[in-house]
Amino acid sequence: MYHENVSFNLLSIGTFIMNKLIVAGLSGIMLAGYLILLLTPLQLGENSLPPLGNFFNPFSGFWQNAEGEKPYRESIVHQVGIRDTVEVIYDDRLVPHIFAKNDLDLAFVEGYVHAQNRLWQMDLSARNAGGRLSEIFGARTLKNDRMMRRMGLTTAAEHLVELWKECPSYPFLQSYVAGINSYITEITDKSKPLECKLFDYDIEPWSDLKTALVTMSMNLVLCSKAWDMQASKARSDLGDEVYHSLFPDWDPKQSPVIPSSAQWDFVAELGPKPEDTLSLGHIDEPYESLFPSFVGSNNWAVSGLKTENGNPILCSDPHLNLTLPSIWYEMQVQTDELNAYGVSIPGIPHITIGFNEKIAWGMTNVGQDVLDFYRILWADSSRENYLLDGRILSTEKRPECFEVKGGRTICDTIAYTYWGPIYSEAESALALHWLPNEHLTDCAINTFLNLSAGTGFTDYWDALRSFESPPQNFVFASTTGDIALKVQGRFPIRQKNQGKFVQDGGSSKNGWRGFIPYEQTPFVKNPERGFVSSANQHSTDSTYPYPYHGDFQHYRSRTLNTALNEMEEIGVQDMMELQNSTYNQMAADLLPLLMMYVDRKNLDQKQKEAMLQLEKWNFDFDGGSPLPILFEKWRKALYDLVWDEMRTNDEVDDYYRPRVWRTIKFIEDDPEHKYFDLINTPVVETARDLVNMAFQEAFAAYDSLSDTDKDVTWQSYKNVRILHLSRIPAFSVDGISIGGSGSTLNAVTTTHGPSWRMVVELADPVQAWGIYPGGQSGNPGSRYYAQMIEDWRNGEYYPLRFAKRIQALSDASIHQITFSP
Amino acid sequence: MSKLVVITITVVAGFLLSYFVNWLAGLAVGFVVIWFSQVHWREGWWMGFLSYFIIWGSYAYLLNAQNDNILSIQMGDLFGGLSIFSLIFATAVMGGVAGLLTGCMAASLHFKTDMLNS
Repeated sequence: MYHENVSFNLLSIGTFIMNKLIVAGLSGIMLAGYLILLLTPLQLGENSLPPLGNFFNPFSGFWQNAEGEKPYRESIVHQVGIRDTVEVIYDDRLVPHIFAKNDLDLAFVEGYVHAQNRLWQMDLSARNAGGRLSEIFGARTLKNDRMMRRMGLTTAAEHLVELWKECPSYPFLQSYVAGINSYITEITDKSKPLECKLFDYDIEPWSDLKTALVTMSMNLVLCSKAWDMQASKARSDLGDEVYHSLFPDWDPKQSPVIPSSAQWDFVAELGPKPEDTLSLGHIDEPYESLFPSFVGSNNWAVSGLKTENGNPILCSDPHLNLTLPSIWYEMQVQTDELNAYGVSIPGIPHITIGFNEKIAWGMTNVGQDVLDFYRILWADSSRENYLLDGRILSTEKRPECFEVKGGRTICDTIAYTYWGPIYSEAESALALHWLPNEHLTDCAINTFLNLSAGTGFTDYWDALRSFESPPQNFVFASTTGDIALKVQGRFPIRQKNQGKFVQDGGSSKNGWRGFIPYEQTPFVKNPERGFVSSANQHSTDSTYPYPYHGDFQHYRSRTLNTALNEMEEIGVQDMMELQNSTYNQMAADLLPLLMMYVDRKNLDQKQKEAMLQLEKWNFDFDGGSPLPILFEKWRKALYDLVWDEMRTNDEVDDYYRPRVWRTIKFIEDDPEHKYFDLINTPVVETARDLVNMAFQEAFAAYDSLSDTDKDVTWQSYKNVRILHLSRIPAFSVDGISIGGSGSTLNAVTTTHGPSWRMVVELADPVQAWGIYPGGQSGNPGSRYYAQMIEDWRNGEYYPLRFAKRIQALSDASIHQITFSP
Repeated sequence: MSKLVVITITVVAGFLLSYFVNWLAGLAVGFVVIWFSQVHWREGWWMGFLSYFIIWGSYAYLLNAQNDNILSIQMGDLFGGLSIFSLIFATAVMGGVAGLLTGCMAASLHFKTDMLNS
């Protein structure tokens, strides 16, 4: 009996243990499998998902980026990188007000707060310019990366860093970099930027080079436009005479940056004429631009003689690609030597556009062409040696490797020539000669520090001397009553038309002849008309001794200068309304001309009604009106019909086509010109025919829109959207209801627009208002990520809290951080 | 130990370890608690599930609440239009399943003396 019991128990225990082991084994295997699933990135076609366990767990995953009302936990931060205590007050819009005792501590904390709020944006911007996006986005960004490397941005950035090391404010930059890195070392899995969690990567330490790359990315956006290939093709097909008739340099109606009354007291030394380049003929590979299709800005300053309070007023609204996070980061910086407020670019120290207690400054893009292409003549079939002035030179090879997310590494070699990197290696090897790739003497980091500390005109003048690229129109006003505007940059000296077309790279005579001296770049101070202004138009009229060409826009400047000429007793509110104006000068020029040609007897009832509305229209691209849709469709249809000879495809313009103002003038002056004849019809058309055909086409499209949405308006049609930098729709803002167009002062297009609106009254004390379409935080999970968009859309401004003392911010402070050594 | 006590200890210890170390450490402590509590594996799995469902779900809920749903709406969009509730629920289930397997394994790796005596 005893033995039976023992054997029964042993059997039970054995079964029990076996069962346990089976359950433990099975659950262990399943747990291991599940953990592997949670800890491994998932590849779904071209897209990848982060490890789900890391991403979803609320302790370090995306939930940690769901910020509360107070985005920061720390109130005291001990830093070895600073010498004295620095106080940072974050106000109710999360604008940091940095109170430091010295420049270096200021720079350190600037770097820290930039990183604290915009680290992923900074990292992305540097990666983009460095051609390293594929490391985080995979193969889909490889093409972009290759182009960035081919443009030579990294090489140029490396050179920039070497230059900066000689600049007086280099220690400031080093301190800024140290501040960023100080924040980066504090990052934990919890506090990583949301996008780093989503794309499953860690932020690298910051460096001077990364700041230089961010600078280069601004150059890419602002001064990398070129139509050399398209223009060469058009000139080759059309012949010289027709080409120059269709593409004149000067719009007779233009209102240049420097008033036409300006006298030039110098003679330009242009050197010998280059060889003609028409013989190069067709260049069939268009330059596929990386820059946005529309970049434009306004700035102006009115003298106290024109204002109601007798104080100068300065306004600045740079128009850029609208993104989330916004390109700008607002801040106040104060030391014993300076007290300034404005917007900065995360990744670059200092305030870029802003004001202090004595002066204010703003920028618009100049638009002059500073990028040329040269065709390389290979010396042999190896394509490693090329000819220059009859000599054989070897290219310098730079290996470029792309580490594509997922493990692949792809290597490429970029060849550098006398002119610059070989951009295109198709049949015609083209070398890219671009201002930022030239050996600049750029100490631009000095410019903004000196402007921030400036007290008057002389400081402004001296500060701009170190700014070279991208060329900018710097507007200025001071509490002493001065207003000024300088077209500043390192402008190449070229013969007339040189650089418009692809040039022969076999002769060094075709190169630039140096750069226009600082004292001879266009400039105006306290003009008689009582204001200075710029809106991306020509810098000067045709009397300026140095030839130049580029991408200039004339309609906004005409609206602006007409308005400022007429206005008196100007108040701050008037300036805000002007910045938000949606009056379209292009429509005012073109529509009456079109109406003159319309054959009304051929219109049906609906078309007649639309025509009546257009007749009464005040050319206002008001968001709530549908008329801008009809006008825009009509204009575009007409433009395509007129220039049907110049083929285009949907993706890239392979022809350079005449500007809109030239098209309008052409209709005015010569409505029966052969270019109005359509190439694919047997009859001979005139401008009148094309206007009517374009109207029928435009109205049909317009009418079909009203069929699907009877309340369609310009703003609903335009559908302004502010995209997240990685184009993730969930982190973007879509369907923003706002009027305007590229030709109105409030130049809002679908993805571009006023990225910062600022109005500064140079009173005592200085008062300022500003807004940008975004928020101070770069974290999509923050209430400060996009909270200003609605007020921006409505044309509202925030009074900028420009405090002299820290105590003045006590009522607006949401958080204070003390940095102690 | 009563089941409620085991779950409570697991939740508290799991939360603290997850918060101060990482979520894997939080899971590991659950393993230890359930192993020590000597529950049967038929109970261990649901106790593990419930504990980690509570830990992940409630913390996600709290973070979302203090964020006024700002991020969860965007993340819901990112994952194909999930509602806030679905997103929090998915988070809780993801933690819960990890707890389930951990609990099951922990409970099956001990040898209860009363079982041996039986």
